[in-house]
Amino acid sequence: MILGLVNSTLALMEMTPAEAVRGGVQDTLPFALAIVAFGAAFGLHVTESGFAWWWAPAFGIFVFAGSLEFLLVDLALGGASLATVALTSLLVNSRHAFYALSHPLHRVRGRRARAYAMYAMTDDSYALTTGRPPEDMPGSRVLAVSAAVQAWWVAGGLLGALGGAALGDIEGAEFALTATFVILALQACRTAPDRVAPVIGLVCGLLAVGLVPAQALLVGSGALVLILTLMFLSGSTHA
Amino acid sequence: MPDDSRLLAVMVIGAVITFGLRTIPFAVIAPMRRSPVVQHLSLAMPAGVLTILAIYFLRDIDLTDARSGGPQIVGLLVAVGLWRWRRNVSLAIVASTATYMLVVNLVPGLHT
Repeated sequence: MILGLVNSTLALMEMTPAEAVRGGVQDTLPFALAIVAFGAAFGLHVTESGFAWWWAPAFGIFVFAGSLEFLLVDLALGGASLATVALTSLLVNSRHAFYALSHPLHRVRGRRARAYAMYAMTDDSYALTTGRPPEDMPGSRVLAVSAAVQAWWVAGGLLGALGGAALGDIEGAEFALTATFVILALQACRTAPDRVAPVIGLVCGLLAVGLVPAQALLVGSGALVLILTLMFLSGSTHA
Repeated sequence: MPDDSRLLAVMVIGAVITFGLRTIPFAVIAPMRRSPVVQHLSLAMPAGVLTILAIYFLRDIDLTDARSGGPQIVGLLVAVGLWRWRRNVSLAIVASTATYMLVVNLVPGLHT
């Protein structure tokens, strides 16, 4: 009987799916404008680079990784090898591999729903779905957040790609990439446990850009991971 | 006219790798959680990788050329300044990009 009472209370506390969905969409509202604007910058960059407007939503649907999408367009333009494209993708989105450690995927039910939740795990949707404790994130809310973020992003891409064609030759959208990584880096350094990794990143980055500019990302971060792992294994870093 | 088939190949590679990076860890999540190295890297690596990325994108800034370097410096000042003032990542990115685009497109002589 006590079990029954506990179960009923828990059922009452659990939001209905409709409320959870509404809550999820509302979670994304403070960031909607920024996501749309960043998406528009990408859409603009696509058309300014000479590609058709529909590539913007295509990237938003198939890749769905904001900063990497910018890079992919530039790599295609620059004639980079496919191996370089693969390695760059691996590197730039490597931080996503760690998101699994704290993502509330266990709250999402169903194979297809889970597949979508994993596929849509961008920086934004990850931040929003882990912003509340897992108890407050029923599966439908997780899905709603991810879908809303993607909707804003694809809409932004369409806006930029189609609007860009109307506005003519507008430059500069790619600056969003520089700004994004500088700010994300400052942010990560602020929340990092110590100064070690950022400083090593700084040194590796400067050396790599100076010595092997074409492969700077790969060489720099390969060296970083190697050094961090060796330092940890040799016990000179506190976990 | 840029090459659509090349862009398609690039897009597919980016999509597959991104999807793999996001989904495969869930399959090995238990061993990942148990590994002290992974735990340590998950905390330390993002800051390091993002620093490298930031340097990579900053390398183009030519401080000797006021026409290209100037707008970029202005954009960065806006980005960092706004972020420090408001601690809002999106605001800093959007406002600084808008500033940069306004400068580059409207100031005479800067548009290439």
